This record gives sequence, structure tokens and C-alpha cells, in this order.
Amino acid sequence: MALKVMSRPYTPDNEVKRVWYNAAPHVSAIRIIIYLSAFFLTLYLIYCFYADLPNTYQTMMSLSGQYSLIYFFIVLAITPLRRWCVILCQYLKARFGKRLSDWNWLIKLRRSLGVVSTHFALIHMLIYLWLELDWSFGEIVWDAQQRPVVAIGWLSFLVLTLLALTSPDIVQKKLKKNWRVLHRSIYPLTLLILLHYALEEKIGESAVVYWVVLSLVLLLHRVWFNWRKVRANVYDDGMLAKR
Amino acid sequence: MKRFTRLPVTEEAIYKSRRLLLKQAIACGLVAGGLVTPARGASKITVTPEKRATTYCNYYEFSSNKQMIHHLAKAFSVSPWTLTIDGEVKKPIQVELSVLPDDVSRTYPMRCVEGWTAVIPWQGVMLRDILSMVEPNENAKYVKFHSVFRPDEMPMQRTGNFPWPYVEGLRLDEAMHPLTMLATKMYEKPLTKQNGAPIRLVVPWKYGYKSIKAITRIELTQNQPVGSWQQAVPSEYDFLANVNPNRPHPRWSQRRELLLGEKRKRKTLMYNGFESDVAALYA
Repeated sequence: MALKVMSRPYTPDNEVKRVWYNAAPHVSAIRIIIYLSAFFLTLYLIYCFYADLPNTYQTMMSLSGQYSLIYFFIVLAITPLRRWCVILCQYLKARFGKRLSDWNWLIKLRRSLGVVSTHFALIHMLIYLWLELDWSFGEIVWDAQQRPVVAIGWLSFLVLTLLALTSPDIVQKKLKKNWRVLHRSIYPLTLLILLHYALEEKIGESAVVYWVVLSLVLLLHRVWFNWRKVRANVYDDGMLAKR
Repeated sequence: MKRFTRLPVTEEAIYKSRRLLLKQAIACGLVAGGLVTPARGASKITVTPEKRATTYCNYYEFSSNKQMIHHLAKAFSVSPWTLTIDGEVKKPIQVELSVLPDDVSRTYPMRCVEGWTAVIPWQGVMLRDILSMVEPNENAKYVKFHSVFRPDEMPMQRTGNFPWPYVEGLRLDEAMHPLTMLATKMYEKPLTKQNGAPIRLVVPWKYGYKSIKAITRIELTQNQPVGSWQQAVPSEYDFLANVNPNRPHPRWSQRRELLLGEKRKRKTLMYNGFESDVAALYA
């Protein structure tokens, strides 16, 4: 069997298509899978509300917050992931994926993932307003003043919503260069979200540590990459992801 | 939408007996005169189902996962058990738990500092009855409760991030208050291990962390004891720890609380609904 595959005649046209890990032609399908995953997770949250749980509020807040966090970190991981995929494919002498542009399709998913993250942040916020505050809007300001964890939650939710609202293609084109400046606020937003998580945890709980380590890897990768580029004045041979 | 006023559930016979006790207490000069027990017969909240109260607990010695504790607590051995009462007392004693009466039955909302509440019927003895047995001397100002230190049975005690063993304290007047009790039973059955077997404190107007579980020693002291949570995070947990909706914790708004099993939170009442009983202590 293996010999047969090896002896298949080479045509530049079908090389890209045949490699199983080339997902580039399937971006739309992958995007639908992402939205479907968000849909089923939302269904699960609704199930949790009606299920006979001892502490529905705590469960739903924790789950919705974690879902939002997971999608947010996939967004952050895409730029480093593209570079690492290139390094991996070069190391494995793979038939496809040794060029950065082979992984451009990942960028197309980034804004969709960000919108999904915002969707769960919105659910997180609505559960807080409904089950904790019982829609008593007079207490929103009081609570945010009293508890830093709530104030930081509101601030990060506002920034995240702003990024989601400016995500559609039309808005992106209208904002032109400002769009990239605006969307760089995802880096301070990461720190805000981690602070929100850390303030929520009590003594003896340390789940936030794993997220801090992950964010350090993803953010320091960018710092190191830009520093190397400037410092060594590396010639851009198409391997430097600018986005 | 229906809005509730949260009232602690106390059956009629109990609050009547409490009135009698209070009258006795006032007569003895233990409680300031003029203290009136309000009629709390009208119960707007229901008792938490037993299964829920025994499977959703906060017991840091075992785990911070509330639904895991009842599994982990199986390894905890509670017999034999001796309760020592000493310190600034005239007659220090060692109590055999089997001889302790459990004729006092009270249904109290147990308000956790983390914003949830379980309404539990407790059976046991009033702490003041025990304390009067040992006769506190004139130096006794505070009561310090010690829990057990058994790292081989309690997993979290093997970690060093908390001042083990668990210690809590009350002022002597708080300990002498007729609402304060030592419980050996709940739901008319012996306390389960995860709920503080074999004997625990129940102070209904304070946050749950004051109601120490698995007490081995009650020590009367002259100086104010430092509770374990107070020692671990002094900025977040104080000695009095009275339920107060106007004083938020940095993590939990104390305005509201979730009755276990419900969806929406309810408003928290001052002193957990016992304001008329205990406000005089802090006047």
C-alpha cells in the first residue's frame, strides 16, 4: 500500500489537496464547527440552569467564564501557532506547510473565535445581572465600587464587546489602519481577564496559575519575536508573520 | 415575580421554648433585659433537603471542592472522641460525647461567607449549658475552639497553605447567648462526617466559617483568640464575622445569598435574620 502512495505521479496541482493536514480549503466548514461547538456549549449551560444542582449560580458563572476564557486563549494562540506549525513542518520535512502563507487560513478563524468568546462573556455577565443582582440596576454601581473583581470584570467585558463589534469585515474596512491599533488592546485585555480570574479565586485554589503560564508563553513569544526581528534586522523571507 | 423576605425557620414550639429560656436568661442577668424574641413562626423558606446539605459542604480540611468532601470524609474516624474543656475555668472537664444531651432542636439558616445558605435542623445542646458546667472564672473573656489535626485522614492538612489545625473563637457573651449551640445531630440523625461529626458549633448570626467542626477542645481564654481564616487572610476575614449585607467581602457581595437548590439569590438579612436577638450584643 505504502509503495503505491509513494509512486503516485507528482502534479503540483493536487499536492496541496492530498495532504490530510491541509485544512485551508475547509475554512468555512471549520468556522461552522466552531459556531456549532459554541451552540452546544450554550445548550449545556441552559441545561445546567434547569438541572437540579445545589449551586446553580456558581456552576453557571464558573462554566460560562471558563468557556469564554478558552476561546479567548485560542484567539491569542493563533499567531504563535502559525509560526510553530511552520517550524514543525520544516523539521518533519513535511510535504506541505513549510511556508507561513500555508497557515494563513488560521487567521480567518481568529475573529470568529473572538466573537464566540464574547458570546460566553455576555452570558457570564447576564447570569450575574439576573441570578446575583436580580436585575436591580441600583446595585450594579455599588457592587462594582465595593468589589474590584466585579469592576475589572465590567472593564474587560466592555473592551471585549468593543472588539467583537468591530469584528465584521465592513467595520474592519471602514476603520482601516485604526482597526489594528484598536485590536492590539487584546494584550492588555489578557492581563485584565487574568486579574479578574485571580481576584475571584480564594486561598488554596490555583487554576489561574495555569492560565498565567499559558499567557506568558503566548505573550512573551510575541515580545521575543519582535525583539529578535528589530535587534538582528532579520531579512523577511516570508517567514515573519506580521499579523 | 415573587419577592421573599427571608425569615429564619423556627417551629412554634421551639421559639416558645426559646422565649422561656430567654426569660430565664434575663432573670439570671446573662442577657440584657428588654431583649424580645420576635415571632418567627411564619416560615417562608423551606428546610434544605438532607441529601443536599450532606453532599454540598465547605470543609477545608478535606478539599475546596464542596461536592467532593462527603467522599473524602469517609476516611475520617470519629470514635473514640473526647472533648476537653479547660483554660480559665474552675472545673476543667473531659466530656464523653455519649452523655451529652441532644434535646435542643433548632432550625437555622447556615449562611456561608461565599454567598450560599443551607437551612438545617440541628439537635444538640446550648453552649451556655456546657460552659456553666465548668464555671468560667473572672479571667475568662473569650472561648477558643480547637479542631483536629490528622493529616493522614485530612488531605488538605498535608499542604502548608493554611494554619492547621482549624481554630475559631467567640466572645464569652456570644458563647453564652441562647442561640449558640453545640450540635451532635442534624435532621434527627447523628452528624455526618462531612458536616462536622462528632460535635460542632452552630452560631446562626455569623458566617459559617465561625461554626467550627469536629471540636476536640474548648478553651476559655483571657485574650482574644485568632481564628484560622482571620490568621490566613486578616484583610478579608475578621473575628466577629457577623452576617452583614452592607459589608461586602472582596470576592462575595454579601447583599445576597443563594439557598441551596434555588436559582436566584435572595436578599441577606442583618445578623442572618436574628437582628432582634443579637443586636444588643454589639450595641
